Amino acid sequence: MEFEGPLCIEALLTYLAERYGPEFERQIYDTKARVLNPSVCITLNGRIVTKPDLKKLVEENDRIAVFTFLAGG
Amino acid sequence: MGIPFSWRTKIMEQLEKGYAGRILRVDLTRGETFVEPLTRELAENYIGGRGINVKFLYDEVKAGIDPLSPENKLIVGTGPLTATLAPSSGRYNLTTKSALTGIFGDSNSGGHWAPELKFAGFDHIIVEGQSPRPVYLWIGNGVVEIREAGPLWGRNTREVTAGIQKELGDRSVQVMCIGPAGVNRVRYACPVNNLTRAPGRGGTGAVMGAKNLLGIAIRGTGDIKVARPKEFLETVKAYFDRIKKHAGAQTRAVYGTPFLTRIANETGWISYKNIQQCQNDEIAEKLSAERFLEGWVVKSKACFNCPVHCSHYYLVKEGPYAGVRSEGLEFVGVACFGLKTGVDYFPAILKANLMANQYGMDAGYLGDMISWAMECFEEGILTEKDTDGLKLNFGNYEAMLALIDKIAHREGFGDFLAENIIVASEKLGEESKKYAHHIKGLTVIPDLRIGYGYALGHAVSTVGAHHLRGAVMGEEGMVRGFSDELAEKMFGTKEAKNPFVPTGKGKTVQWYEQGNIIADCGNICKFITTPYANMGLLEISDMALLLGHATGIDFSEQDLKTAAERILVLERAFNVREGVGRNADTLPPRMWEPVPDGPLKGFQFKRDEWDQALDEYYKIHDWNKQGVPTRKTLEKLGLSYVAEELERLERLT
Repeated sequence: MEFEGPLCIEALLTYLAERYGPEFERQIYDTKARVLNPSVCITLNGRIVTKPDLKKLVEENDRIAVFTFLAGG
Repeated sequence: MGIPFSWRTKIMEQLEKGYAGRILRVDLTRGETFVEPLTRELAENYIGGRGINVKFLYDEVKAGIDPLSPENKLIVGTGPLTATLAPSSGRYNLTTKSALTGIFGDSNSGGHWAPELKFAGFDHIIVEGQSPRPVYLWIGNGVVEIREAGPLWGRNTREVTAGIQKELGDRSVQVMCIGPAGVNRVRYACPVNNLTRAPGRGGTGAVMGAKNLLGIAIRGTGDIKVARPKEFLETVKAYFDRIKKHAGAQTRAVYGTPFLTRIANETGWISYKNIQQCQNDEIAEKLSAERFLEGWVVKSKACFNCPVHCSHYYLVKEGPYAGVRSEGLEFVGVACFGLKTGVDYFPAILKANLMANQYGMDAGYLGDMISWAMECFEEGILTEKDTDGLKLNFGNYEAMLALIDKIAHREGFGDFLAENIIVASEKLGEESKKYAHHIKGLTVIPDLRIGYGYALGHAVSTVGAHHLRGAVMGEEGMVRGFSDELAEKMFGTKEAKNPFVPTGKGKTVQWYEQGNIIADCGNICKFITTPYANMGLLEISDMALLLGHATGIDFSEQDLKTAAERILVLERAFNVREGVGRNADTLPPRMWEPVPDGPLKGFQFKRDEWDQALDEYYKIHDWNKQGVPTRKTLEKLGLSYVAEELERLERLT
């Protein structure tokens, strides 16, 4: 994705919520309460993003992944 | 060689709600079977499944015996929730002294076999002795027989299953059986039920092979009663709703555990080529769950009464492995036949998975032995002269498949790899041990360098390295996502959230241990429990409610935690009796090295921090500094007799 201007992770999630609609908000990020779904994991360049990290600015070529926590065997 | 019994008759004060109330004992040496009641005392203190299994194993199997001798026992354990309407209630534990590690062995399996045992009127089976000839056990409504295995002995599990069903004249008979690997006593052989489900870890298949026990066939049509049907049903409905709405459960329902391939790559533990590399985008894409679904999945598949249906049927339609069809694939199959061996050709991985199922071998250990051998080959420690001409370079899937066949039949180089990794690396020499990633003889499947809690949980597991005992799965992020307040409340410190420091990890491991033990005792799948699978699924309080409505025994949350502690301590004591102590609660050589690449590059466990984490873990459990349960702890848990024995053996300090 390409954006003009600096963007923090929280802003990116808000953008994605607008783009993908209510289901995204329900599953991933509640934009009103500004709360991540506790079942969801977001990584920035492979490192887990926690609440304080949501204000981090995303830089060029950064890699963001969104997935549910999953244990397995 | 069997006795009919009136299976609907009440025996003494047997339990009859949730539980079937009966334990079947099988003496293969004498060819005799008899039934005893499952008492309320056992249920209250050990709940069921894994808990009751370890109680019998500890009490009836002496320290120091050869796991392949008639003195060992093999114990099947369902739980009070198995076969009820509780979600994902199709599981059982198989417990023994491990033929693979020589310590406590316990493994869990799903499918549809365990509920049939409950419908036939039993909670547990205790098998002892050794039959003079290969046999299988047949349990029907009111009938238990020990039957000749005949020409089925040594056949693959598909042939054995079909053969037994044909012999008994009923395709609905549920079969759990060994294949050629168990018959040949491959150390990591396992039985398989429903063709593709297995209590994989620990070499239970080798124990069955040594006992001349081909398998256990069951057909039952009885009822399972619950204590409070109305409340049970309401609770179950609420839990089904919760599970079906849960994001993690939904993900698993579509993709299954292969979803972990991308997560592993993204968070830096893809374990590529025997854990040499920690991130590899190309391989993660090639072996992703999406590729699996697009290329080979035919439909979803569920275990008994499971709303998650995380498994799949797959079929290879074209290419050199056209016709390969089976159920799966679990992430362990992707990891051990693909990521760790460097094989990126999915049909070959699917073929390997099928072979593991048909031959009856732990897919994880099998893949790990092969990837170890591959690294030794690439390093020049093994040559083609040693490997019967097989070029065991990483990625050579033809060699991998040929080797699986050799291992199952103990042919040539396969015989060498059919032993456990400690024995094999001892024979091959010091250099090879650097690449042998195991803890207490059980191989480490994923890279453990994602945090202290994850690694600690593997290291202290009572069966050896295992992700389903106490490993803090949420190190990928779940615990990190807790608020400081929640972390303080649950683990005593917000530092528990940070995977890269040792503080708080003793408590987080305990949290996982308790949840997993209770799931294994009720015997429902961990994929619907907290904390193993995720937050917001069935917690210990939910299990207490469900167990209470099912059995009429109103366990409190604390009752279950105390029982879990008692069960863990008994498992630990079993190992202490075998001489296992602090020295064994450690990591393999590579896990002490810094992470070479990926997002965690440079992270390295420190020995003094490891000791700190271990000390904290022992303290939480009130064990001494050697990891031996103290007399005080044992007495508090009603295990004074264990204290007496450990003192006699001079293990209690």
